[in-house]
Amino acid sequence: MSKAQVIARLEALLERVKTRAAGPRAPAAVAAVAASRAPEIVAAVAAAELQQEPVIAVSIVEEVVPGDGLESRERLVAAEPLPEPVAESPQEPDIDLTSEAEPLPPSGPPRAMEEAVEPAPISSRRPVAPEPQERLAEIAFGAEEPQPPRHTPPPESGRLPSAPEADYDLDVTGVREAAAVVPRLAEEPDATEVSARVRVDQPVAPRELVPQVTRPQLASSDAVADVIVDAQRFTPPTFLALLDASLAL
Amino acid sequence: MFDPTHAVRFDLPSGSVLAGNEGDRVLLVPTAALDDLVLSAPPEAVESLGRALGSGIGRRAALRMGDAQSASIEQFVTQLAGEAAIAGVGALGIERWGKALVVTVEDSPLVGTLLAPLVASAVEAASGRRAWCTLLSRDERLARILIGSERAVARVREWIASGLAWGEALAKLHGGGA
Repeated sequence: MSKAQVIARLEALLERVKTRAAGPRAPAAVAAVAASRAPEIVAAVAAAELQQEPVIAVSIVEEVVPGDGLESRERLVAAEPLPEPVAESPQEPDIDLTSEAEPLPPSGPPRAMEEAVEPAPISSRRPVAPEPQERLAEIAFGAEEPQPPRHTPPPESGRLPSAPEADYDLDVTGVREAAAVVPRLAEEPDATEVSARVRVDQPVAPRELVPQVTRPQLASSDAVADVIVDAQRFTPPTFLALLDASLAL
Repeated sequence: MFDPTHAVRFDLPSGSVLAGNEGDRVLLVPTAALDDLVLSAPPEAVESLGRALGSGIGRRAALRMGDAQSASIEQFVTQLAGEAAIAGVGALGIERWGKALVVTVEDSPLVGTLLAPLVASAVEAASGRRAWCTLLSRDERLARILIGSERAVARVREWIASGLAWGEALAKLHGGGA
């Protein structure tokens, strides 16, 4: 078919649609016409009657039948006539269409929201996902070093065995001057009392005190004395000189 | 050196007491009688009595010194104190407070109002200078008497009467102190 034929056919089709759209119509008639007439006319009438559904219906048909191999749109829209209850509730078509495309999960939040992990941005060094709890605790308090296996049981409470007699070379170790260690008995008082008593009983070694001398550095000066009055310099040679001075006051 | 030899002569047949080389007749008077006189007599009479007693002491001291003008302080005080001791006034001495001359009398039987003019008159008679005096302090043992000019003595009396201590009065007399 040449382009001219195609254009002529499309113009005739358009003229016919305009003519039918201008005239009165009824729902039942429209449905009958849609069933008997060519498919392309049904699609146009359905778009005129259901003001919201046509777009959704077309998209679903395309998803359900992908890659059908049909070339023209008129062949694709050979759909069943829409039932009456569809127009009563605007929400039902969404549910029906969704059930046809993909079944809903039974309940709970969407699985996509649970498992969605935001990938780390390229410019970021650290992962966006939070650190696991063990990792945070390790950073905060440090990693616990594994304890070596214990091959001996813990010591028992009670008396401790006394230390064996020391066999030291006194000239080498210097233990000769140390006081003998007395093993502690169970009846002995607290360690703090023992230490206090030892401090009292033991004679305190005399401490040699060395004085720290601090001497002032005074420079000699001949301007230390300052005579305020010269009363005592008055040395009259005679008594009359003294009497005259006193009478002159 | 004071020589008290024959300083006082008692002429028992004639019933007189003579003092000094010139034989000034003196009278032994009980101190209690003088105290009664001082207490009953007016101040001017007390001062005149004191000056009369002091002039004789000073004059006899001047006779002992010979040239009182050239006498040293020690010589002058020694002769004057010797004559005062013979008269029974007390132990006389001097203190120099700066340029102020203060005569001290220890163990004097005389009251202050009589002692001050006595000392002033004795100094005046011994030195030949006109002198004024005022009592600075007096206790049971020691009396201090300032020898000075009439103006100086009046000022010191005023300061002491206003409550100023006698030592501060002497300092103030020299142009300092309070």
